[in-house]
Amino acid sequence: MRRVTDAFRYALIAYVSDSDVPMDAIYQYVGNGPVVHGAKGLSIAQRVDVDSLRQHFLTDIPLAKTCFDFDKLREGVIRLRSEYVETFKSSPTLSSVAKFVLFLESLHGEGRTVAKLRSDVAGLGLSASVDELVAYLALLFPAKVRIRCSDTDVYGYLIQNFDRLKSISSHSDVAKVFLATVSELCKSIDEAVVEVVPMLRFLNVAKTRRSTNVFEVAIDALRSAGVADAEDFLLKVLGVAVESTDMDTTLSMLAQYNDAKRAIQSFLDSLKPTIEAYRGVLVSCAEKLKSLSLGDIHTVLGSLLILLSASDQRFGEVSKAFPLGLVSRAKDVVKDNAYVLLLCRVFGSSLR
Amino acid sequence: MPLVSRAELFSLIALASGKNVLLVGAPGVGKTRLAKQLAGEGMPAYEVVTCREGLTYDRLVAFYSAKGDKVSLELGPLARSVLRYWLSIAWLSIAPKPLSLPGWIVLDEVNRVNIDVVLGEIFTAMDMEHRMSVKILSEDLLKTALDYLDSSVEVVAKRLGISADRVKAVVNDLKRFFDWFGGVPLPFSYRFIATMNIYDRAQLYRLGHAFVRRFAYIYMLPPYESYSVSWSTDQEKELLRNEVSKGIYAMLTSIDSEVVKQASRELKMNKHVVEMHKDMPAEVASLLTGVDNPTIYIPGFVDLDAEIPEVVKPGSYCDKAFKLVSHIYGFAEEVGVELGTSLLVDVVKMCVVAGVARYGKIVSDAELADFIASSIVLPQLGVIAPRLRAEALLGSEDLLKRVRDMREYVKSLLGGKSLSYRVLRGLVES
Repeated sequence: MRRVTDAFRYALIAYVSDSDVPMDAIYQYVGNGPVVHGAKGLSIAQRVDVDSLRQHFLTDIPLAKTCFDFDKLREGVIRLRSEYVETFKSSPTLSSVAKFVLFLESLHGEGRTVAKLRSDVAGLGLSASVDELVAYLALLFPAKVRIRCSDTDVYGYLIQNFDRLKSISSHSDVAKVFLATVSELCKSIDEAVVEVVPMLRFLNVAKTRRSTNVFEVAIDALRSAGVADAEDFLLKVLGVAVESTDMDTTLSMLAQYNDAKRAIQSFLDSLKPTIEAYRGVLVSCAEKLKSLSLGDIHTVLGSLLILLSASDQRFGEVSKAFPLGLVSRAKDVVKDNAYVLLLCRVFGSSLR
Repeated sequence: MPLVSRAELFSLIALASGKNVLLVGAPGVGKTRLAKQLAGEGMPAYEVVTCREGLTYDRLVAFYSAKGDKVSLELGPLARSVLRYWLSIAWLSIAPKPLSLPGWIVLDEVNRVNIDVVLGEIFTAMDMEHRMSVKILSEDLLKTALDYLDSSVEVVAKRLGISADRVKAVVNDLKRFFDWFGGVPLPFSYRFIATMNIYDRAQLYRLGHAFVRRFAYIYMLPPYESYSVSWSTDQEKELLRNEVSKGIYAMLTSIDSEVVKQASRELKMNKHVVEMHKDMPAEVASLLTGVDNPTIYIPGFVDLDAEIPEVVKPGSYCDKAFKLVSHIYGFAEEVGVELGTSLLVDVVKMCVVAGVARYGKIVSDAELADFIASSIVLPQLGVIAPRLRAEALLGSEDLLKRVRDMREYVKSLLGGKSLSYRVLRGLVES
């Protein structure tokens, strides 16, 4: 019974983490006595609607996953159900949250299609958006939710929220789950050869997500090679690459960082189209900067390229793959050298 | 000639702050070439009007043309440029593609016309505060304007390097906007670049007040003259010598002064207009708060509210400019000239933009002070030129002596190769 308590307590902590109820109070409240805590716990849960839970998922999935130790929860809820579910069902205090917990538990037991999932979620009578919840469940339980090519709304939701997911996921949990989902989808597509536009867009994002690794790998490689400020160095390399059409010249900068060369080369290869698109403008810009005898213009050029490509729809997918730290550094460099925008005639408001 | 001249650097900061630019110099110093570069030669809205006697406001905006026995209403180069500009930025607002300045109009050799008469009704529209309340094309010309929009799609698309279908998609949004507005306004990011040949520096002081107030006067040196600015700390002590100067300096360096508040408002005028007009179509609001920004080259991620206090304070990058401008106001008061507060608003705007653009790395604070004084404040002293001539006829030299003293003071403060000294020399010679 102790384990039941633990499981349910985890769930409650997650539920109420957005509320004003102090954690200690919750522990105190649900920690005494198996029967009492169940009833009282539900009574707390009643005060927290599912929207709170949903927000919790949206804002911190890794934490939610930690709180929802699903294996433990499953075991706990099975026991809880076997002992109390009949009571719960007949009780007017049975909340939608409790229903949702039971639903989550059942999701572990059997896989289901998106259509079935949607119908089950709709049946819960939650105030949350069914599409949104289904998409998240698909994301969290890729092995259990069988997504088909025709389930475009699920992809749509994931695509639209990709940035948000990326930005909230400093941990790799979401990315791993996401990529696992994606690889399932890729497999499906290969098998079905279905050209569904949203699906293709989704795959593009997925590929981009993979290519994120190219940028992150480059930064990691530089760090491993002992470069103190890897992001700054990467921007400088990019600036040199913009000015020079010769890759060897660029890579010669890495003479003392041999181990990082391959990573940087992949980084530059992935940015080749954006470099080519802006080379003409940026080279003439570089000449102007040089004529003013300014110091390190390459970091400025590299930063400008990152921001320009991030503002250009042609490179939307690539720009989504830029690590946030790199974009943020590029912004700082351009802000500190904003005269470059005037000299290069960048129609400034297009830079976000 | 250096790749980036001081004239270009100064012009860019003036344009980014909302000013139009008047390039002044002797024939052959590169005014028209720089004007074309600044105006975005080859871009959709780019137009060059070579001013000549007989050019009128109507010719610039809209006029009736007779061909055989048919009379038709035609749009002039300014109206065409503005309409193509709206079309370009409407496209850019939904599909941001950086580095696509849509182009502006060049008014070449304005010295050959009575520019006050030619631009007369457009002057008010040039003020950032009035851009969305004054019509460049009124309601009765709307049909002609909308027809022109339709017929410009191809050329705009071609010059932007995109498909015409994509430009067509925004035409209807613009039509709804112009219908809602009841005419065609001047975009916040639109600028006028003018050039003027001068054979003697006194010519500047014969320009009308309305024109001089709305343009930053950029003096381009002949190749045999050089530009340099010094800063005498001894002379600096004299800058805030009278109460007017002190009062102006306090205004320019106080974040709470009305001048600074107005400057801040004008730099974000597009957003204010959207807030004021709740009935504005959503696509128009999005256009105005996005691409059509008064601070054209300053990116959206720069927080002006956070930057302004860094500039507007004693000891900042603009401190020398604030002191010099305050001094000129003090001088103006002594010689009976009221310069008004709109110039101070322009000074603050220019300083804020120079600060935000980190111009300190390429232009010294003394150079900035010299540029701001010579481009927007000193030309206003032209109103005393007739008095100087009248006094000279009467055999009096009191006023002339004061101006000469001011010129010598500026020389000892900034040096004889500064723009401010040269501009003041023109006033004495007038």
